[in-house]
Amino acid sequence: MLGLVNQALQEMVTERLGTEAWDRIRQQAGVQDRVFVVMRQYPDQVTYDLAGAVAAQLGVPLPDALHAFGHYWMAFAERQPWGKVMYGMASSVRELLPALNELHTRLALSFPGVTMPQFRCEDAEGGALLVHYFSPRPGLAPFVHGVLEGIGAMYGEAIEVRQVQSRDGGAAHDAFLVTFPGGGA
Amino acid sequence: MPQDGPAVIDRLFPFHVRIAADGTVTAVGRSLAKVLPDAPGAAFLDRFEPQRPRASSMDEVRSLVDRLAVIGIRGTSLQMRGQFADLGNGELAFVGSPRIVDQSSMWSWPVGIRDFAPHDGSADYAMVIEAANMQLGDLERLVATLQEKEREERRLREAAESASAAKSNFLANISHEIRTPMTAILGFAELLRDGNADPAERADWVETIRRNGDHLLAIINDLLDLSKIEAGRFDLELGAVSVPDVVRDVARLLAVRAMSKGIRLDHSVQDELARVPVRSDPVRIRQILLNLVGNAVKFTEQGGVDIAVSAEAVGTRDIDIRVAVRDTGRGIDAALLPGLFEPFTQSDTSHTREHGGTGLGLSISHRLATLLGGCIEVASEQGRGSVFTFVFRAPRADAADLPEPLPLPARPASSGPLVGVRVLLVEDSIDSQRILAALMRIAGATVDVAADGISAVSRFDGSYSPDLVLMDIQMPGMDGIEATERIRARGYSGRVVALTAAALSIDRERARRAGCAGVHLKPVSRDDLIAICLGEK
Repeated sequence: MLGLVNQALQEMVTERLGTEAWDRIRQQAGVQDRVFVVMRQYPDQVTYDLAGAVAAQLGVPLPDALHAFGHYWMAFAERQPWGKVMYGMASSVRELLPALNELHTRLALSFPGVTMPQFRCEDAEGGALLVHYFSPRPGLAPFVHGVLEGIGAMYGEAIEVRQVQSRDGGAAHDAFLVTFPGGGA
Repeated sequence: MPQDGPAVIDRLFPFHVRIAADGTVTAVGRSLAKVLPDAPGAAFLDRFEPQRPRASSMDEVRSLVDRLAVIGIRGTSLQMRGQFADLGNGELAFVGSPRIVDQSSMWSWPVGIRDFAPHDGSADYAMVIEAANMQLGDLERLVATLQEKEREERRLREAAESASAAKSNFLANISHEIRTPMTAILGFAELLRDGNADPAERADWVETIRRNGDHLLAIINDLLDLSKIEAGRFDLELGAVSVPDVVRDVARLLAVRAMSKGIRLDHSVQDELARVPVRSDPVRIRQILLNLVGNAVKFTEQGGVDIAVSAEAVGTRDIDIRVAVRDTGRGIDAALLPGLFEPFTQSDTSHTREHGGTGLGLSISHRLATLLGGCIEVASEQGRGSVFTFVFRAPRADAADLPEPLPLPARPASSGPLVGVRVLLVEDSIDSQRILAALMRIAGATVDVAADGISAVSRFDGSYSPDLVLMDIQMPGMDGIEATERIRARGYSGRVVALTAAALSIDRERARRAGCAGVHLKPVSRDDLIAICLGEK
């Protein structure tokens, strides 16, 4: 996982719980790095261990912690240069979700060697969008759930996200139904 | 759905320009049209400027066909990178994309990434540039972290160096303070050994040795206190205390000294609340006040010293007690006030010589005050005097917990205070045996001496019962603790008093548990020794 992801997790914890809490989490996760180099690749296990320690610190199940981090990730990404890129690609949730795959394909040039997730977006009943999520990394569906809700927050749109297909439930991949109670842009 | 040639070109190259044989623009791609909607119909060279390679006529433009070219859009800073293609019949096309060399060259175009053809990698350059900028930001963050760490390290290093310098200075001072009286003691002892002086000189030298010995002992006691406080090993012994009573005792103790200097020493209680007993450490309060009042008397030549006790309730439980010691002495230079509580800092080092004192009293008092949850405030004006105020907060205590004043024991009526008193002195050091036994015998006592714990225990065969056992703690073979336990086990119920050179409180505890009635630090003065023998200490 990119150092950028770990750095975002660190920022989320220090913003909400303080630096001492982050130090405790880091020690509990057995992670020595005090700072993360954003472009460096860290073993996925580092991120999983940190997320597990965050959940333990907050006293919540791991999926809940990942879901919260997904939300935070979008707010974090928006502050990075990618915010402009996303706004340059799409002016609404409805435009961005079908472009997620193209976004990650273009991003891959900037992050050589990074395993990017894949998305496929299709129209569903009632103007909803069905987002299919493919990744070799297990257990991150709650994070993606939070990311999709975070995209709604980024564009200031009221959306509802429901996981309709789960790898944990035996499906080949995870899928989320995104509905637009207000009609969507 | 199949599309014709121009439509396919438009989808593949949304930034293209079509140019007729006469140099007129006939069409622009859908994305370029967002920038130049009215370009069709205009002369190509009026709207575009071939910049690299340069071309200023259509003939020159035609010579650029199939070569890499950069063209600018006139009136803007926008550039496109691509190539000219010959479409036949004199018609040309320029196919390319916005030229992206930095952040501004991308974001100054009024188009988004979706305006680029999916196959076009130009937009990816924008992301690569953003990634590079992000790395730059990351680098700055890491450098800032590193610099912060460096600053922190420098702060720590400077603090360590400063502490080390303070320690060296402290050691130099200790060395000086100890060597000075030691020089006098050793020098006069040597003169006495030579035996060439008359009796008056000898008496003067002996007095000088005794005075310097007392001073040395005071320094050692102060240093022990200070080092125990600094090491965090200073235990307070809490109990009920009436601060006005302590003030009265201190004033009585120093009254003779004040009187001999011809100055006043008065004390007063400002309000009734101050008389309420509080729970604190009476011994340490007394030590602090002895130091403050002692200093005030010491440095006042005219006028006098006033001690005022006042109090203020804090909630229902606690009381803030203030003891202000005001003198009319010479006062302290304002420049010296900040370092006043540091060891060996005196307003004038010559005072130590002139007035005695170790130079440690105030720093010990200051630290003790902190340990008691308080502080010492100081206000001074040179030539007018000083006010040292000891302030501390303590909870109220029950008056019933105040210690009873000790009844004075009846002394045997005879010429020496210890006549009729039998003492067993257990002491392995020959010198200590000689001095202690001599002092007690001169005072009238009968003294038995045991050189170690084993021989002391063996005396208690059932019939031997001295009035007092003076027990050294550290002895080879059987120490004083074990000897006391064994003596007690053999049924001895008289007083055992421990004498020790070890200042640790743990020794005191062990001695008390073993059956010692008291523990006293060596050396002891003659008066103290007699008081110990009489059970007054």
